[in-house]
Amino acid sequence: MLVLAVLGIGGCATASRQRTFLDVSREVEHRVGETTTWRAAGGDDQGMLNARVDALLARELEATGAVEIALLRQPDLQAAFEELGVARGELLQAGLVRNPAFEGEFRFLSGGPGHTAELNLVQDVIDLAYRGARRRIGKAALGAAKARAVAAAIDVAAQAREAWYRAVAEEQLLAMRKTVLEAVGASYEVARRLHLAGNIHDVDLSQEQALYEQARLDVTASEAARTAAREELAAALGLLGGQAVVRLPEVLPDPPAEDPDLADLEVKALELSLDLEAARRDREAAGRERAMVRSMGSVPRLGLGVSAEREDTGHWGLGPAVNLGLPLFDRGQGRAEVAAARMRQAEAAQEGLGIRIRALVRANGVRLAGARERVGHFQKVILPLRDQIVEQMQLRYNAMAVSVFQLLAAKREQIMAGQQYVQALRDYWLARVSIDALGQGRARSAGTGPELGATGGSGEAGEGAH
Amino acid sequence: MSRLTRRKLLLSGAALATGAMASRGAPASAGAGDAEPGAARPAPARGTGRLTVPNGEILPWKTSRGFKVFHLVAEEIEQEIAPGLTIKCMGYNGRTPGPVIEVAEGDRVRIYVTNRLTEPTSVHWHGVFLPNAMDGVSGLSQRPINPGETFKYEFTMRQWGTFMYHSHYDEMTQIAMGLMGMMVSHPRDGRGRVDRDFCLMLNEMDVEVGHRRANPNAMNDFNVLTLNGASFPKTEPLVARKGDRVRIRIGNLSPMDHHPIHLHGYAFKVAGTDGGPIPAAAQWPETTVLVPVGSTRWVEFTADAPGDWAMHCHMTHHVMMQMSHGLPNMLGMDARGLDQHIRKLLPGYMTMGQTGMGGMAEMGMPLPKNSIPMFGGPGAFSYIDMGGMFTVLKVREGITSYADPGWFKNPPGTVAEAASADELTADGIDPDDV
Repeated sequence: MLVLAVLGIGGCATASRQRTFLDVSREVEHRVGETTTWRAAGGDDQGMLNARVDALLARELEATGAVEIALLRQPDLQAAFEELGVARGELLQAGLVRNPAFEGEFRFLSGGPGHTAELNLVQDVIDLAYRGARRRIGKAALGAAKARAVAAAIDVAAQAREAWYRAVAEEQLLAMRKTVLEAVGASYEVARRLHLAGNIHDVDLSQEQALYEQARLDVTASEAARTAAREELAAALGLLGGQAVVRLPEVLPDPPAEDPDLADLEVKALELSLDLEAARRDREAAGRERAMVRSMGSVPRLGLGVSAEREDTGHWGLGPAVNLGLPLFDRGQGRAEVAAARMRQAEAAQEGLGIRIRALVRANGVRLAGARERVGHFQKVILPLRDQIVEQMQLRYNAMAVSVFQLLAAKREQIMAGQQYVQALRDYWLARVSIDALGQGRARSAGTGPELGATGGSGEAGEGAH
Repeated sequence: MSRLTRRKLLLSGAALATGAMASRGAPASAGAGDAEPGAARPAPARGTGRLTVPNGEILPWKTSRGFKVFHLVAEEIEQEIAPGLTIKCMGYNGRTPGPVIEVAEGDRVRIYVTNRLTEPTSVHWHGVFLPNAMDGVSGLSQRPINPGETFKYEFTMRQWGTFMYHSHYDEMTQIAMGLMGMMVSHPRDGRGRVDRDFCLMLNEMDVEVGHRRANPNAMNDFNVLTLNGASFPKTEPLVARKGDRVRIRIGNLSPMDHHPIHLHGYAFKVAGTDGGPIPAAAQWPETTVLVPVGSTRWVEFTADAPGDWAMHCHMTHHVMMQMSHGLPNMLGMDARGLDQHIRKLLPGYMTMGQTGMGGMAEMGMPLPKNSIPMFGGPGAFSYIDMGGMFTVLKVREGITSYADPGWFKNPPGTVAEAASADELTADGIDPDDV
């Protein structure tokens, strides 16, 4: 019976975790557009999800695929979700009735046979009265934890996207730097052969060689950057070892047709802000705590029960028992101060978030617009110009008006303009990730991680009685 | 007035109404209007000289109150130097060099000069004896002709020979851009009559590949060399009949270069300069006449050897077109495998120059617009990879017209060809023997 009861409780616990997590997963799906899972909640078919990840890794991985994998695999996210477990535990604890206390004394008389006994059974009553208040605090804290869990999921998704864009950019840049090396290598080869034929000076050959060796260094550095970016991508996705070999596209995607409207985004970012929601819930929890503590502080700790005593005559006496703690010294003043401070803290955090979110929207909006313009300028003006220059240099070379060195230099400059384009494109996408995260309700700036979370932890609230 | 002058007056009257040269039969180029079918010898072109201006024209005149009246207009022009190369430069009456001014000894000459340039100009009559203030040196002889103005020059031509005219204001710009022309004066008494009388003006310009305008600031790196404003293959051939007495007048107003003009197949006599005729006993025999900057030379010979004879400046860079000189020396470089390597980056690439420059033009590679680097033209046997200051003297037996007769049909046995194995053996020649 006990075992079944325990199992039943365990089963109930899992079902409750699922219910708690359902809110979170629905929000994540709604805001980010992908599914996530909390393994401890046990509600999802992990086998099917593993198969999904394997299928994604088998193909060329797109940015959305990276987000999918991260939301399913990233251990940091699972760690963040366990905060839900913590908050749930504390809520549970807050709702538990304090155990009654049984006290018994037996005395064996020294003068003769017989004994006296004293039995008390007392139940704390005040604690019972404040159970509802404690649970409400716990629920507020759970609400804050849920908001933070969704925020963590958005962070993980955004980090996965950033890592993906950086990794693809490094691939593309490496390919370009290798082409530059080829161009410089060809130039060096011509110089080598001219030198062999006795047509150029040693110093001209050395200069070509110097350019070539420099280009080789660039490629080496680029390879290191590519490897680092890939490792970061694997880490962001929560992949280990052999799975870290993902297949990536060769080029970054073009910017989408439109960017979100900034005015709309500011409103949306504030409305949907999970950081603000968490701060509000923190404030609610702290407010309720302070109210409860102040109320409880003036109230004596009251325990009621029964008391029974056996006289040495063998008669039992029965009567009520009262246990009264007198609030003389400790009226919970300290805890009330703590709660008040947490309230003010949460309010200040809300205010700070209000400012910060608006600033981030504007700053990232400008970055995004600037990056889009740069990308467009490269696509429409600079890259076509560089193409033209190479074509026209080829014609001049055919006319023997410029040398093959100048022709190869023009080619090199074309590729280097291409590299700048790739960097502009990458900057665009990183800014876009920040903007998208703001629109999903999480304040973050590209490349530097989450900008700030609401202060106050879910671990503090709900600790009503000790 | 001499009989000759009066005859010219009468003849000119007929042309006055149209102002054209057609009735006088003055050819714009060799042979046009000369033919009289069936005649034993082609009819005279005009006057005493049969003056022929390949690629050029003769300035028309009218007679007015006893003067030969000419009108020169100095203006900016666009001229095709050779097919594929058209440049903005300056000239007289729509062309550079300007039309040849043809007069006779004793003519009273009046030349109106209208300035349609954007800066002042003047015209100097090179080698001509005339009143000091008609000499055309801006500032010294006259005030400059401002844009829009028309000046009058007037003098009596007391000499006969080959002279020139050119701008004498901002010469670095205006001569470099092409403001020049030839002036020919025929002797009154018919001395020095020849059957073919050619007039050529030498000039050079700097036109970078892909540019559309001559650069007058060039001092050393001229890359467009012209005869009467044209470069081979646009230069029209000089056509003569076997037995013709031929005179070639050459004037050089290139800004910075003398030109040694070499004629193949003949030795001629240098018969005169812009200083006057050279007495027969003193005439210098040459195959190459050096024409310094600011001089004219006339040479004479009898065209007794039929064939297509090259005539060109012997400075090797003056028979190329628009080459650049800043390139590394590619000669002798081992280019094996290089093209495949570089084509991965530049699909249209080809290594050039490692075996020399011949055959470049025949490759047909795409070039910048308005450029003809190193081009030549098709010849009788194969491509002639010469350009610039190059033309051909075509001497034919028994022709009745001076129109271009096509390529010379060489008599069999006179053609240099690959020696056959039998021939080599018969003469004991071993090609492998060093």
